[in-house]
Amino acid sequence: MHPLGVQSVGDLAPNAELIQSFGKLYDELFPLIYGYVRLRVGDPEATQDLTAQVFERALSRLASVQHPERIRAWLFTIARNLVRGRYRRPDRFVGLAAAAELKYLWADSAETVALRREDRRRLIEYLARLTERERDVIGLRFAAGLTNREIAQVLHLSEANVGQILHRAVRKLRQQFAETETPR
Amino acid sequence: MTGKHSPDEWREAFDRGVPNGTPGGASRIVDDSLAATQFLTEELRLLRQAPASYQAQLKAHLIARLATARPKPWWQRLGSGKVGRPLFTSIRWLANGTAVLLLGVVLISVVVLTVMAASSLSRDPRQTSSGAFSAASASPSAATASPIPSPTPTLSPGGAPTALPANQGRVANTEGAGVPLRSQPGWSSASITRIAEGATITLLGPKIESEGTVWRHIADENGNEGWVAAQFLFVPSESPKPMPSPTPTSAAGLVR
Repeated sequence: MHPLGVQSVGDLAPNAELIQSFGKLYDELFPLIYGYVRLRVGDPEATQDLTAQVFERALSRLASVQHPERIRAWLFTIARNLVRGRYRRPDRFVGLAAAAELKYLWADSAETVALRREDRRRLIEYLARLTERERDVIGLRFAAGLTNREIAQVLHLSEANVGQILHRAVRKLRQQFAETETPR
Repeated sequence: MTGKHSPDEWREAFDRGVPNGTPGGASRIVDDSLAATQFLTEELRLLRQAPASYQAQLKAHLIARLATARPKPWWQRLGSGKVGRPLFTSIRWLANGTAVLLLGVVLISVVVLTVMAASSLSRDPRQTSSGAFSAASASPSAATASPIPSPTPTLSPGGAPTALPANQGRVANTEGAGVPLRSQPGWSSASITRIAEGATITLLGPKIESEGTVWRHIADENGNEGWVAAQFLFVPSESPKPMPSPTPTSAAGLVR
């Protein structure tokens, strides 16, 4: 069964039911995609740009979804490809330079306690030191909330491998927190 | 320039504007792996919060696009339409392959038929029922291939055949065997007599089609009236004009 309840491309004619189910899908998946792209890209403006692209592309390919039960993994594959493609383009710095007045990374959350802010600053620092793959896994696991199985589908890895990478990445982060902790 | 972005670039984008605060109490993360996971879960979950206006705007935009979407025409949907079946890729190829194959067969048969028709017309006019007419009228050179010893009408300009009155003709194309004069238009009809090749006959009426053949009502030199298949007659007054309507047998012969 197609995630939008249609049988074929021909059924993708606009109707209220279809639009409603797409709206539902969007409401469920938008925050997850946004979170993942945000972690991978950082820049809020670029994040909005890319998130819109992800859904645009998904919409145009919705009819050809082959494994409806993997719709989340499918969408994140699109997101990941777009994120990676962005860094291959020569104009990749334009987004960063144009974003003159960036909001804080977590500015939208209510908690702006200085203590937490310091933790976050360090977290950013340490996340930046991870490999691209580790950051991918961290983003999919924590920012997007995917299961290990779904991450494995997105990255074309085995589930056990994903678990390993995740474990290693978290350990790296903890070690770095520990290293800067002790001198003080 | 590498495919990946460097940690510095990424941090710059990510870290922008995050102020320095007091040293944090991150020791709990160090000591407890469960706490570390919890910390990451809580902190990174917050990244999902997008400006509400942006989220709503994008949704409206996408739904507008969806609402104006038109279903693809059927030929684009061929084989790719169904959901959840990788099998359809091969069916699509199958459909395309069949179409190409059919096109090829049609093209080849058209060429072959053209060649066959052309050769059957020019090689031997007497083999097909209408060949004599069309060949004799359309290409005089075809008549030169005829082994008939007596001069054929087209071969002797100014001779007797051209001197025939409009309502007269000659028996021709019988290879010297002559043609039976029948009492009725039809192959099974009784034969009154046999008219020799080259004999002059008089036309008594228009062409009549029967049993897939054109027949002429004629009288021979002795005054016997009857019917002869038109393909065995040569009528000078009619020969310059092309046959107004080819007989069904000739049409079928061409197509086959």
